Amino acid sequence: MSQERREGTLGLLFLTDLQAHDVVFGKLAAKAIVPFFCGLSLLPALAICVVVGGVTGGEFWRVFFVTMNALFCALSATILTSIFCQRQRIAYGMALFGLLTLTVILPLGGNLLSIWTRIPVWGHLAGLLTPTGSYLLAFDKSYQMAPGWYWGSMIASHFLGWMFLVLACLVLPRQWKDKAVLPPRKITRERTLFARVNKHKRLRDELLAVNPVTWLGTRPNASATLIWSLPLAALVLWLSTDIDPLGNWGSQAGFTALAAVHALFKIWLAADATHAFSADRKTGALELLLGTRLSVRNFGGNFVEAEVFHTLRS
Amino acid sequence: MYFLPLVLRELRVATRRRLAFRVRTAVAVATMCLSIWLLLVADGWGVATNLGHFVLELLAVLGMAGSTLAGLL
Repeated sequence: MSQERREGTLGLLFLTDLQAHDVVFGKLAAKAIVPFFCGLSLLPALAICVVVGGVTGGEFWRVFFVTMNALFCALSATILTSIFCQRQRIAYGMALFGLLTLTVILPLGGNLLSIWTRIPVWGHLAGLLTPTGSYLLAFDKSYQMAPGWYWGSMIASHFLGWMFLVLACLVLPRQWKDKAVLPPRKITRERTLFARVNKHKRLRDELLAVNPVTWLGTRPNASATLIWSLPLAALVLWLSTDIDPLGNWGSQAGFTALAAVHALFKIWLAADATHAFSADRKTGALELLLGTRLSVRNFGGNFVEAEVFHTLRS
Repeated sequence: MYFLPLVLRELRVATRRRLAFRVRTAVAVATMCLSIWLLLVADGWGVATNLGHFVLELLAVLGMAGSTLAGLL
């Protein structure tokens, strides 16, 4: 959906007889058809487990239904998030965050809350709304203890998927249109932003005279600012917990979280740096640069210089 | 509801993607490697029922991961 918005083809779809719900369900069907058949192909492999033994027929069908329900729920959530975002990376990031919230953060948060407050119902309620909850309850051991929670979780998460779709149908006709003039309360904020942009523009004008590659790489980028939240998170983690890979479970969890933050920082930085090349290639900026007197040999170094400048400056 | 032409268009666009073939090949190779590894470690399981349940859990995890990430891939 965000790709359609970027390319300006979403408006063209609305020029036809299609309604918002046609577009949303069309996208859902197109995205779901391949994973759905993959899920169907999983059935014989799952059935082998019944033949091998130790797995009941009910368990087999419950696992299959959970997988299909998770597919529906995840696709609905992804379609909804992609409506709100125009830029590709933001759309991916938002969708990933939404899915992580739905499958990991919500059930984990509910369980932690139930441990903290010693009220087990929080964990059950959080599991009720997510496909992860129904997945954990699908196996015989858990299902026999609470069959009602399994079916409740299936119905609730399925209903959540439908809610995402209905919301997408309602929001889509408003999102693809150009935005109206800014309301008065936003004008002051915009002025401050313009002042900052002008300052940045002056700095970039100086850079253009020195090197166009560095100039191109220093375009305003919110990602370069956000990346510094990760070292900050690592610092907070280091100060608040006892980091020890060989210590008790708390220290080990702290160490794992720190390692994850560290890895994410490196991946983010690398993705940001490599994205510049592909984005410039797509917009034709790289071709224009190659038409100047700059030698290809200098390109890599200048791009690294631009990336370092941009990241450190923000 | 009149969404089938849209589905057709989306599927045509998907088939033109260069990555589609590579991803399919990579997934097939990964699944084959996993199956071979499972067959190799199957001896250590002793009771067949344990193996059945292990394979079910493994496939369920893969299915859940695939279903959850289907919108992003």
